[in-house]
Amino acid sequence: MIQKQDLIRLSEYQWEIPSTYRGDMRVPVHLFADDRLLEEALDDRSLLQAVNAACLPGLVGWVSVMPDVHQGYGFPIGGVAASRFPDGVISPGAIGYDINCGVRLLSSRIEFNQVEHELSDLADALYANCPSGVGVGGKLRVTRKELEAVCRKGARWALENGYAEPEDLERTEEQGTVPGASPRSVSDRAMQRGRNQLGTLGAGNHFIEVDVVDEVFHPEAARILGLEQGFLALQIHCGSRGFGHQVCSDYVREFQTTIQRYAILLPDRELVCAPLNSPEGIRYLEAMACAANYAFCNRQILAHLARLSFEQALAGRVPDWHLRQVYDIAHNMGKTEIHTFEGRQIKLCVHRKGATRAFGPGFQGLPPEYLDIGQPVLVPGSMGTASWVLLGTEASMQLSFGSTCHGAGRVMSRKQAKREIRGSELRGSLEAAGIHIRAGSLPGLAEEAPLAYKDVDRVVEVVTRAGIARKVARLKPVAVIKG
Amino acid sequence: MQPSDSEELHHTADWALRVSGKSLDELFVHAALGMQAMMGIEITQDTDSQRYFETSATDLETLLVRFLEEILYLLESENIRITGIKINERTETHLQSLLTCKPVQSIQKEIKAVTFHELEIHRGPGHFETVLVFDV
Repeated sequence: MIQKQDLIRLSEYQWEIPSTYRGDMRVPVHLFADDRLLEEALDDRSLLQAVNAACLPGLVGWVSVMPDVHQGYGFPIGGVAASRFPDGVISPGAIGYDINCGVRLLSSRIEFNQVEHELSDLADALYANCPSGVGVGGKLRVTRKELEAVCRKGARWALENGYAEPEDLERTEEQGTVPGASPRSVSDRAMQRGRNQLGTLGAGNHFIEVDVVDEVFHPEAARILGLEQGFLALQIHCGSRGFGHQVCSDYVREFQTTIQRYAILLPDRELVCAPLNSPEGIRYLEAMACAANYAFCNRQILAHLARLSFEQALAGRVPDWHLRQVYDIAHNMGKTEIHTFEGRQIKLCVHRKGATRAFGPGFQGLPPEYLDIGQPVLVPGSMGTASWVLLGTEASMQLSFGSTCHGAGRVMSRKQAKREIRGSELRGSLEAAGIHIRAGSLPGLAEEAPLAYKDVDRVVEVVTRAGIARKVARLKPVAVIKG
Repeated sequence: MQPSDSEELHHTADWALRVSGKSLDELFVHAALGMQAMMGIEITQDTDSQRYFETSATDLETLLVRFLEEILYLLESENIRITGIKINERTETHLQSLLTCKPVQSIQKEIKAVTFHELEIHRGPGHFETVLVFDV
C-alpha cells in the first residue's frame, strides 16, 4: 500500500506521487486533498489504482486525482488522465461502464416556502412519472432505426421528438451531441439493451432530487445561472444504462487481445487500451460517442418527465412551475480536447472517470450567457447532504487538464453500510429531517447512506482552495427519488 | 443469502466476491450462483426453462467473465434467474453449458458489469479460487 511518506507535498492542497515511485509509471500522480482527505485516500486502494493508471502509454503531464477519489476497478473513481493524439491510447476502463454518467441541474421560480406542503405530492409525481429501479424499462420503446438516430444525435433527437426545449441543448456539454458517433461500432446486444431503457433512471447511486438553493456564494453567477436562495432546483443523476454498460463490456473484453497486438504491458487487465489512431481505438471512440449521446438523450427525456411531474403537482398552486435548464455535464467520459501543455497547443483525449470537466471563462463551447463566468460544474452530495454548483476556472486548465471533482466520494463499502445502517431507519431519519424519500429498495437506500460518503463540503473546499473550481451555490435536498 | 463457497469482500465503491471450488467447473458454477445471490433475486414458482450457452475466449479468466456476462444478460433481457448449471464441456478457452432458469419476481440490486480488475484464477491441488469485482 502507498504510505504518506511516498507523497511529496506540492502545495497546501496538492500532493505528488513521483513517477520514480514505481518503475512502470510513465507520469507522476497529482492528488488534490487536505490532510484528512489524503488519509481517507490512503485507506483504500485508490492511489495504487492511480499509480497503475499512470502506466498507460502516451500519457501527457500527470494523472490527476480529485479529493473525492475512491477505489474503483482498474482506474480510480475521481481520476483524470490525458493521452496525446494520435499515438496515445484510449482505455474504456478509464472511463467506466456507465459511459456519460452525469448530472443535469434545472432551476425554478418556485419558492420553497410556497410549496413546502406540496412536496410529498411532487415526490409522488416524480416517482410515478420517472421510471426507476433495477430492471425497470421506460414507457418509450424505440425501433432500431430510431435508436441509431439517438446514437448519432443524442439530446437533439429528444428535441426533434418533443422532449426538449432549444435552450436545454445550448446548456448541455457538447450541446448534447458528442461528434463522431457511429452505431456500426456498437454491438447488436448493446442496441437491444438500449431499446427500452431511454427515459429511465436505473438504480444504485442514481437519483432525481428536488433541492432548495440554500446559500449563494457568487450572486452574479447565480443570477446568470437562474439560481436564487430559497427557490427550488432539480438534479438528475444517471447515465447510459444497459446500452453503455454493454459498450464498455464489449470493448474491455475485445481489448484484452488488442494490447497484445500493440505490445502494451499493463499492471491491471481492466486498464486495457488501444492506440487512439488504431482501428480498434477508433471503433471504441465511435461506440463511446453513441453511448454518451444515449445518456444525454436519457437525461433529457427524464427532464421532460420531471417537467410534467412539476406541472401535475404544482400547476395552479404556484404562478410559474416551469423548470429551466442550468447545465448538464458528464463525469464518466473520454473527450477530445485541445490543451496548452508546456507552451504548445496539443490535441488530447482526456479520460475523466468520476471527474467533471471544469473549463474556465471564455471557453467557446459554452452558451453565450456563460462565457464570462465559465462552465457550470455540478457536484451532487450524498443522499440527505448538500450538493454544490461550482464554476470551472483558468487554473484547472493548468493543474488538472480542465477537470474537478464530481461528488462526495465513498469511504465505506456497501457491505459495511448495509451492516451498520437499516434502510427503513435511514428513511425515517431523512423524512424526520424534512426530506421526502421515494425509493424502490431499502437495502439499496442503506448502501447510499450519508455516512458511507466523504464530507462533500470538505471536498468542495479543497477544489476551490486549490483553484480548480469556484463556488456559486449550495443546494439542500427536500425530496429524493431513487431506484 | 450468500452461498458458503463465495464470500463478499469489502470494496469501497463496488462489489467484490471471493469464489472457490474443488474444480474449475465448480468455480464457474459458484461464481454464477454467488453473483446472483448478491443481487437478491426472488424467483417465481413457474415452470423451469433451459438455455444452451456456448462461448470461446482467449483465456480462462475471459471465459469466466463471458459466462457471467451471459447470465446478467439473460436476467436483464429475459427476466430469468439461473437455478441450475450443467457444464457439458470446458477447456481453457471454450465452454458449453446448459442453464436451467426460472422467471424473476424481483431484484434488489443491479450489477452493471463484470470487470477484469486484478482478475486471476488461482489454482492449487483440488482448489481453485478467484476474486471478482462487479461494477454496481
